Formats: sequence, C-alpha cells, structure tokens
Amino acid sequence: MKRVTSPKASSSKRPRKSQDSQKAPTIDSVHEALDCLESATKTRSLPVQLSVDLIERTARSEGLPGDILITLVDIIGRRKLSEAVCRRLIRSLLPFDIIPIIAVLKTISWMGVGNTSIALQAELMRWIVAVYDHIDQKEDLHSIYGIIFHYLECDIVSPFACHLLYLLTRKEDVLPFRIRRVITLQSKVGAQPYLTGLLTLYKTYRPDLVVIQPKQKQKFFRSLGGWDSLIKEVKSRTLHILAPSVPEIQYTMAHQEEDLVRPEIQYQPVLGKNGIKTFQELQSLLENLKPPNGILSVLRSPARRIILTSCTDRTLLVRMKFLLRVLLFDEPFHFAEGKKRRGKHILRTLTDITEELQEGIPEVESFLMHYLQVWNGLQWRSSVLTLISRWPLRPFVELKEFVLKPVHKLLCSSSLEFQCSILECLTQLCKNWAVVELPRYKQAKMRQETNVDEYVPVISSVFDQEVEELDEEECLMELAAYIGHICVTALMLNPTSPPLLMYHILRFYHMTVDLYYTHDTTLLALPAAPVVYSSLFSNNVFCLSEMCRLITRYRGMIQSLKQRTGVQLQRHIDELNGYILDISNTIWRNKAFKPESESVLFKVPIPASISHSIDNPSETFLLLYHPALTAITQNFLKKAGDRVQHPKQVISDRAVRSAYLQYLSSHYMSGITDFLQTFIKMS
Amino acid sequence: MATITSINKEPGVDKVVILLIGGRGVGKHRLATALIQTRSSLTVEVRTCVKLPLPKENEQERPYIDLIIFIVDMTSRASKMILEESLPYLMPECFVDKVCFVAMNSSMVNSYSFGIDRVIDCGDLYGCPVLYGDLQSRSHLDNLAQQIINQAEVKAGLKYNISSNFVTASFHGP
Repeated sequence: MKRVTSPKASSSKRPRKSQDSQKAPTIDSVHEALDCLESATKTRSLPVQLSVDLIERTARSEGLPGDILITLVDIIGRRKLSEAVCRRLIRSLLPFDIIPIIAVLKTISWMGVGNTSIALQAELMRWIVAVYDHIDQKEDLHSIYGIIFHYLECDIVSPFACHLLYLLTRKEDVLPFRIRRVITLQSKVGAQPYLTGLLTLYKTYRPDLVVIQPKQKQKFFRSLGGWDSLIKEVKSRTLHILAPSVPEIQYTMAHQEEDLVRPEIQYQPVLGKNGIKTFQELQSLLENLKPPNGILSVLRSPARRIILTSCTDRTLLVRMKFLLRVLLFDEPFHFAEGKKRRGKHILRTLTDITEELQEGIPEVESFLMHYLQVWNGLQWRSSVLTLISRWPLRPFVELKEFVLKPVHKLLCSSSLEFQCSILECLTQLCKNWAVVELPRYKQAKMRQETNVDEYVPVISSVFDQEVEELDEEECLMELAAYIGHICVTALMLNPTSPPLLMYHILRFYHMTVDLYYTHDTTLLALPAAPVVYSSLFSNNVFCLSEMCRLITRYRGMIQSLKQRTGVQLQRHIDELNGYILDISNTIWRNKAFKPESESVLFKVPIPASISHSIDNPSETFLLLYHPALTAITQNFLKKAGDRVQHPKQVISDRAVRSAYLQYLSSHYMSGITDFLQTFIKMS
Repeated sequence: MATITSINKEPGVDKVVILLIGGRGVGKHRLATALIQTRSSLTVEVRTCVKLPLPKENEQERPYIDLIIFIVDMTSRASKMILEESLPYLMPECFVDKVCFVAMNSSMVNSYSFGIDRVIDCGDLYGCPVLYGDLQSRSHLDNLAQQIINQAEVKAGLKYNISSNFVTASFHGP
C-alpha cells in the first residue's frame, strides 16, 4: 500500500518545491552550477545532479542568456558527463533572447570532434533546427553550408540536417554535385520525405537541374519532438519582459491552413528591450521583422502583405513563389469539385495581392496560361478577369496565344454580359500596360543597361525578373489593335448593337484618349469603321453623342501630337478626316449616301430598294430626323411653340439653331454640340 | 450505315437540331434537358446517340442536323475511344461548320484518365470549337447549354450577317 501511494505523494510535493525554488535561481547561481559541471569528474555526484536541475529549471522558466548557452554547449561537447545528463542539458538550451551564432558554430564543431554519440549529434542538430529563428547571425551559419551537407550521409542525423539545409538553402547553394549526391542518397535509403523536401526546394531554385514530382499533401520533415512548444512557452513568458508596450505585433499561426506543406516552426518578432519609442525604431524594426513560416497567412493579412512587398529579404519572395507553385500546380485538387470554396478563397487572395502590388505574380501568370486553355468562362469569372487585367508586359505573340485567343474563343459563344466583361477586362489590361507596365519596363531596362545598383526606380517590380528584349510601344499598339478587332467581332455577333456593348466599346476608345491627356502616353487607336458606323446609325442617343465626343477628342489629341516632331500621323489624319466628313455629312450637311461625297463609310453601294422606297435617304439621319433624337427634337419643337414654324429652321435660322444646340447640351448630349461647334462653320 | 452529310436534307426554319454523341454516363440527357430549357428565340431539337455511324433504319425521317456535338468525359477512357472511332463516319464538309467538342468534367483535374490536350488538339486539327463543362453544378451546365445554343445559332446560319467561318477566321486577329 505504501509503495503505491508514495509516488503520488512525492509527485504532489515536487511541483510545489519547484515553484518555490523557481523564484530563487538567479544568473549567478546558474554560473555557479556551470562551474560545478565544468569541474565535475563524476556524473553521478549530487552537486552535478543539483546543478543540472537548477539549469533545467531556469531554462524552462525564462530561458538562458547567450554566454551561458555557449558555456553549456562546451560542456556538452567535451562529453565528460554521461549521455543522459547531456541529453537533459541539450533540452535546457532554451534562449532567453537570442542564440549567439558562436554557440551554434561551436555545436557543429563539437559534433565533428568525435566525442559525441550519433544520437546526441542528432539531438543537437534538431536543437539547431528548432532554434533556427532565434539565431542572431544566420549569415555565418550559412557559410558552413557545405559542412552541414556532409551530415546527410549519417542516417540518424540526416532528417534534421535536411531540415536545416532546407532553411538555409539559397540559390547559389544549389549545385549539380549536391543534387547528384542527394539523389544517390535517395536511391540508397529510399524516397524519404526529408530528402524529397530538400530536392523540392532545389527544384524551386533550379528547375532546370531537378526533375521530381513531390506527392500531394506530403509532410517533409519530422516533428521537432516538443521543441517548438518548449520554445513557445519560454518565449511567451519572456516576451512581456522584452516588449511590454507592443503586444500586438506578435505573430500567431492562427489563420494558417492546416494541410499546407510547411516546416512547423514559429517565427517571433525581434523587438528591442524597451519596445518602440520613435519612428526610426519602428522603421528599423520593420526591416528585422520575421514573418511566420506559412506564407499564406502572410498573404491573407493586408498589413503583412505590405511588409512582404517592402521587405528587402529576397528569400521571402522565393518562399512565396514556392508556396504558390505548390498551391496552383502540385495540388490541382483545389480546382476540383468539393474544394471549390478553397479555390475561390485562394484566387481571391491572389487577386487582392495583384491589385495591391499593381503587378502580376509570375506563378499566377503561368497558372493562368494553363487554366485559360480549359476555362469554361464561368468558374471564378471575376477573379480570373481581374488577374488577366494585370498581365505583365510580355511579347505580344505570347499574350495573344495564351490569353487573347482563349478569351476570344469564349467571347464568340457567350452571352452579351460576358462579352462586355471581357471588353472591360481587356480595356483595363491595355490601360495597365500603358500606365504601369510600360514605365516599369523602361526603367528596368535602363537599370539593366547602365548596370548601376544605386539607381532606384520609381516603379519597380517586386519580383526580380530579368527584362526580356521587346519593343514595348509596338506591343501596346498591337494589343490595342487586337482589342479593336475583338470589339468589331462582338459587334458583328450582336447585330442590333445593344447600348451596353456600345458603351464598353466606346469606353475602350475613350480610355486610349485619356491615356494621352492624363498619362502622356500616345496610343493611337482610331475606332474601326463598323464601330463608327454602328454608333452613327444607332437608335440610341448615348452612342451617337459619345461617338461625336470621341471624334472631337481625337482631333484635339492629333492636333497637339502634330506639333511634336517624329510621330507618323498621316494615316491617322486621313482616317480621322474621313470619319469627320462622314459624320458631318450625315447629321448636318444632308449629303449622306451620295456618291459624290468622298466618303469612307459609305463606299458600300446603297441597295436600290432603299433608294426607291425612301424619298430622300440622305435626310433620314439628319440631326432633326435622326431616329435616336426623334423624341428630343419633338420635345424641343413643342417647347419652342410658335417661334419655330418648320423644323428646318433649326438649320437655317441662327437663333433657333443655337437654342436647339443648347437644348441638346442641357440634355447631356454635349458630345453632338461640341462636334458641330468644332467642325461645322456656323454662319 | 448512314454517314452524316450536309447536302441531302433541308434545314428547318428558325429551328436547330443538335445531335449529342457520347458514351453511357457522359450526361447526354441532362445536357439535352438543359439545352431545351435554355431561353432562346430558336426552337431547339436535341437527338442523342452513343456513337457513329447512325443506324440505317429511320434514315429518311431523321431531320437535317445543324450541330454535331461530341461529348468526351475526361474521367473515362472509353469515351475518348468512342470519339476516335466515330470521327471517320463524318463527311469532311461537316467539319467546316457542324462539329463541336465538349470536354465534360474538365474541372476534375486529378481524376483525368487522359490528357485534355487530346481534346484541344482534336479541336485544332479539325478547326472546331472546344467547350468545357461540368455536370456537377447546375450553373455550369446552364452555362454550357447557353454556349452550345449560341454556337448552334451561328452554325445553323440563323445569326444575321455572321457565319461559322467568319468566327473561325476572326481568331487569327486583325
């Protein structure tokens, strides 16, 4: 009976005892304990046991400062103590603030001496992985990458060495001989997840050298045996000492997706001891912030996205790209049935990021290239269209093949609403190229040519990509020409030229003029004849008025361009003159459909039936009789009352004419009024 | 054995006849129902068969066919075989403005039993449009039905001023 109860009693006592003594240990007593351990010869002696207990308690409660950690590593490395004690000491290597790099380097060098057993080596390697985020100068750790790489050969240490290499690897580390060695190892020990994990990372950096396909939803690395929770616990205790005034900047993993491939480590912010006092401190802090490992949780929060884009740490972007690759290519099930909500969520996040960055993400771009080929035009429509509108500047042939053609094919078999959304999306794309991508491309090119690192561009790309050689102005012109072509196709598919479609078409052309006035970018894309033709003979006042306004604005633009030298304008001037002549002939001069007028639009012979059945076809579309304006003209005549005896007075009588034009302006048809005032000489 | 040509019968007025070809379980009848329920100014008549050639009996009573749709289920290899076996029974002129391919279940990427490139290549080779659909959700099925009706209207020549060849030619750009 006694035997049964005694452990219970002792276990109930022990915590109390430790609670009492928890307050007691100070740094001095820890130093004393260290001295004791250093001078100890027997492991089993009482002072050694007490010292180890003390160190363990201190470490668990508030962590150990850097110098003690270094001494402890030395003690473990000399291996005078038994393996069990060493193990306990390793478990006590919990940092108070940061881990000095010298402690880590010493650990690695002690591992090489040969004193430590393989199991201890594995434990030490695991410790380095676990505390990786708290090491102060990772640069030095990176410099012994090659040495750590050798530990892959050791079966027991290998998983943790792989994990550490995974954290350390940069692009320049990925060399053919290393890849060969990992692959040889893989053939020896089988496709272990940690080796696959390392190879996957290598593949991200050098896709040309590695060809493996990781399994879906694979977890690459072993768990850290409770290390992460231990560190988290200590950190949560010490964080309030370190940063009492800014508790909000703590990163949590709360929003992370559980099934993501990621090493399970938490990053903590590195804060000054007294919190933030000045703006400069905040600024320097932002540069030092360590985001959590699951990049998707960074992408979800707007504040973190800003940090991501302003951060100078390139590895962050590489991680983001890697994650996106996994999300979009290696786990295509998100886009399958049953995972639609998740797919929608991811795409919406990506859309938000793209909009915030004002540039397309390369991974998303290559995903869209594939996806658009099999897009049914309905799934995630708004996200896909937004992503298209942020397509980066690429050779036009590429854009045409991968984006414009699939979209054009869909347009031909879709409803009017979808056709309008496509036009809107392409208008945005064109605008984005002209306003954002073109200056960005020019600056990047200049930077590459001058090769000056100090030159800071105004609009730079977040993704450091090499600049392709292309004629950017030509690309833009070709894009505008293609959109014009799509406009005509859409117009042909809807023979009644519905106002909604006309609105979107005219919006595109107005945008091209806006570019000149607001952004000083010349994009000469005159509307094609069918567009002018449909608006001119449309039943809708809006189309007629907006077309007139567009032509007036184009004239202003070409006139101011003419004063600059070096712009080839003759073709555009001829075309524009033709349009102006046709419109004025039709709505004002009573010369429409007449063979003697040098017309652009009316080269088509008028069918005999029209000229026979209608007395005077040229009069049909005069402003007074225009089908679109009938109601307005009638209202005007009613209001005018006795002052106007015959509608034709509008043309002949000056007073009536100005009253009529004023009436049109007051009814939101200033486009027509402006056109007439610009081009017709009012006598 | 009856091959389908476009010269032996008269087309109907304001009416399109759509022939759906696809193996068992590709969703012919669900698609047919969706096609008939789609709001349109046309009278739509849908006929279905498992594969070509069409049987010889009732040959005379069969109407003029405006649009032939091959439904390929991306998750079934058999439906791809049916497509490959049926194509030789079409007269060459049918490919100009009569044929359209539908890749069913195109969103179930991880259960594809063959690459979707095969269908895309087929479309490119014969110059026919390829549509992508899903049986799982009603909205996707309706979207597909609407696209097919729009195709049929153009292919049957019922759309003012526009022909199938015009649409194909417009893909080449300005």
